[in-house]
Amino acid sequence: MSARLTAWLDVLLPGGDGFPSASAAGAADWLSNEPRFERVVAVLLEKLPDGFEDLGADGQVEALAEIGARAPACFNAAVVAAYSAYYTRPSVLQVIEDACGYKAGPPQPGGYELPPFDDGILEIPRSREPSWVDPSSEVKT
Amino acid sequence: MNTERQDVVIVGAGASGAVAAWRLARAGLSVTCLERGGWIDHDDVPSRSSDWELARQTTHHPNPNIRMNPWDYPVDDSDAAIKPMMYNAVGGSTLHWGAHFPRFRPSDFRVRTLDGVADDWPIDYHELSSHYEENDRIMGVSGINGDPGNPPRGQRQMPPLPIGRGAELMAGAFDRLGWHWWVSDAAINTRPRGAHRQACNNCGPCDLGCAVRARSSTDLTYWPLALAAGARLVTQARVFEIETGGDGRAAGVAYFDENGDVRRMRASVVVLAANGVGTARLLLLSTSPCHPAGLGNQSDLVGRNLMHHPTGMVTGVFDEAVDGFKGPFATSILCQHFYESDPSRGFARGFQMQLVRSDAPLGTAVGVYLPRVPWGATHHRRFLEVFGRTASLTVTTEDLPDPGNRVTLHPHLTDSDGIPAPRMTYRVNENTRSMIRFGIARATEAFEAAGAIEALPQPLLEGAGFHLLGTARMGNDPETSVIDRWCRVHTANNVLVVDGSAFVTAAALNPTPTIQAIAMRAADALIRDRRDIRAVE
Repeated sequence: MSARLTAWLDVLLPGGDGFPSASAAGAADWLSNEPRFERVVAVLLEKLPDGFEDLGADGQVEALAEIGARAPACFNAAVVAAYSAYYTRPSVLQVIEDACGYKAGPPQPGGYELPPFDDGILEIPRSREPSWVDPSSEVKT
Repeated sequence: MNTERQDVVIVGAGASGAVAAWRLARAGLSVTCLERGGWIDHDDVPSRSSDWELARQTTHHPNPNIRMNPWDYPVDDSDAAIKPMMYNAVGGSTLHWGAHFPRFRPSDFRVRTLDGVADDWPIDYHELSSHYEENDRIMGVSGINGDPGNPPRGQRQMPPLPIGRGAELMAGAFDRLGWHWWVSDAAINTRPRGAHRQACNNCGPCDLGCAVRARSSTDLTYWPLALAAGARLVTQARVFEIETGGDGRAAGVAYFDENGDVRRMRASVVVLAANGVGTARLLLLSTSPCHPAGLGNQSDLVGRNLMHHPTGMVTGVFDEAVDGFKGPFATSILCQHFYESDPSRGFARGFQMQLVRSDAPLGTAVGVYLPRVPWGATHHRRFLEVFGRTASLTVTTEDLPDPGNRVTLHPHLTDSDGIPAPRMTYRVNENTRSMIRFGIARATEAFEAAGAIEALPQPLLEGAGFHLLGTARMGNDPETSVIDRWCRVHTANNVLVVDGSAFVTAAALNPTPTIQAIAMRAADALIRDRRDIRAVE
């Protein structure tokens, strides 16, 4: 795992508001071993200026903003890779579960309970006049 | 090379090919369907895995250019404002759809008469109504009768899906604004129906496949019936030419089999069901002395008039949890108050607003329904502000046909078998842009009425190329259309086009029930006329 990859991820996804930073969550480890995003990340890291790791927070943000403006397709694909790494880490999903009640795990086989459809909500729309156009009469029915 | 002979060969095993296979095999015809992809194992869908959201960004992305499965073909979309979304497998794109199941309205077939734009269809709503009904019965529809916004129709097979908290808020807003809304029709089980098919358990990501088989796809609905009726299905079969005889009519097809060997299948009739891109591609590939510019392309219309449903979107953020990640993502309620034309709005035709629930964490951060959560110091705060607190309204517009929007063959790009790839050229016209602007203003108004604290607009979803329509349009005049009212190519009446390519106009809603009804009607007509459509010797 390179320092450059870690630095880039932590600029995108620093820690805060109860969330770990990308590197603390293990996103850099995961991404450096993930073939599905290997090329996307490699292209982005190539575009980072020399010494990116040592630029300081403001300089790093400025550098990424510049790449995003100059090469938006590459940059956006890399952001998807970074978010994909981060939001599949168990520690991140646990923070979301604690904060929002979202169940950290696959949606199947459990699914979710929802209140069944209540026909009473259709009282107003059901009472409206027909509004579809009948071309054979060319008038609103 | 191996040569076989059938009454009918069908290209494509998706929404329409499955319908045709069942209907024709049931009538006693020998039917073989050739499908590029294979069977999907519903027990092995991503929603059972902890990294399921990754699949949507990679292996199960709806865009074949991103997914890049070996059985996909690439589509050059570099000059297309809307990107293609499709799937190649038994079931086709119904394996990844949201299963919204509305019907066209009667006015959708008469836009020239009513509004002076595009063209009327050579068929009307009433000619399809019995096929709509039978298709509903086989696919299985959840919904409820009594919608005054649409013509009366038969009883749905199952009660509606739970609409969710976001839809409750929006329904109240629509009522206060005096706008008509109704519950979505969905090809999703709300109670067990069909072999090994359970009721929906509201897991959410229908687009990744349905682990409980509640969401209908034609591999679960039509194909078991078709195979039981004697139809044969050949997978991993990549058709590259419709072969014709000296009179220009089809003699059969040539394809690569699973081993990459060329095979030929002779047939009295060839039915194309490969979607608005794949069918146009195959017609253009099928050149011969009788069809020097491609089969059926004597008027230079094959591939032209490509239509989508250009879609804007507004996402409302509420100050309460609406848990939009619960429930089928695409199906809840819809508002068709602005569906029919009103000249005072400054554009022709209309649109529907379809409530879309929301997304799980990765989808929320990456941004589909709402804009991407920005990276950097504010990321986590913003994520918490929006996650689980949003609902979205699409502005799904009627796309008018434009000959400049088209599918052609790429001069260099090929699929993995060396078959030329299609190229999509597509621009959004000014009528549609006006409609989207108007629709976004209305959707924003609705969210304000619902008490949303923010309304975030997106003027055009690039990834809205899931309905591929119009590239072999139907009509009575061979100079202005590719196929006739029975879906037969004007210049080769034993070639049928039964997918969305046949559409004259697009309407402003999901096309699959109409595609399937047209395929069923075309198959019935073929059965009726089978003795008049002689084979090419």
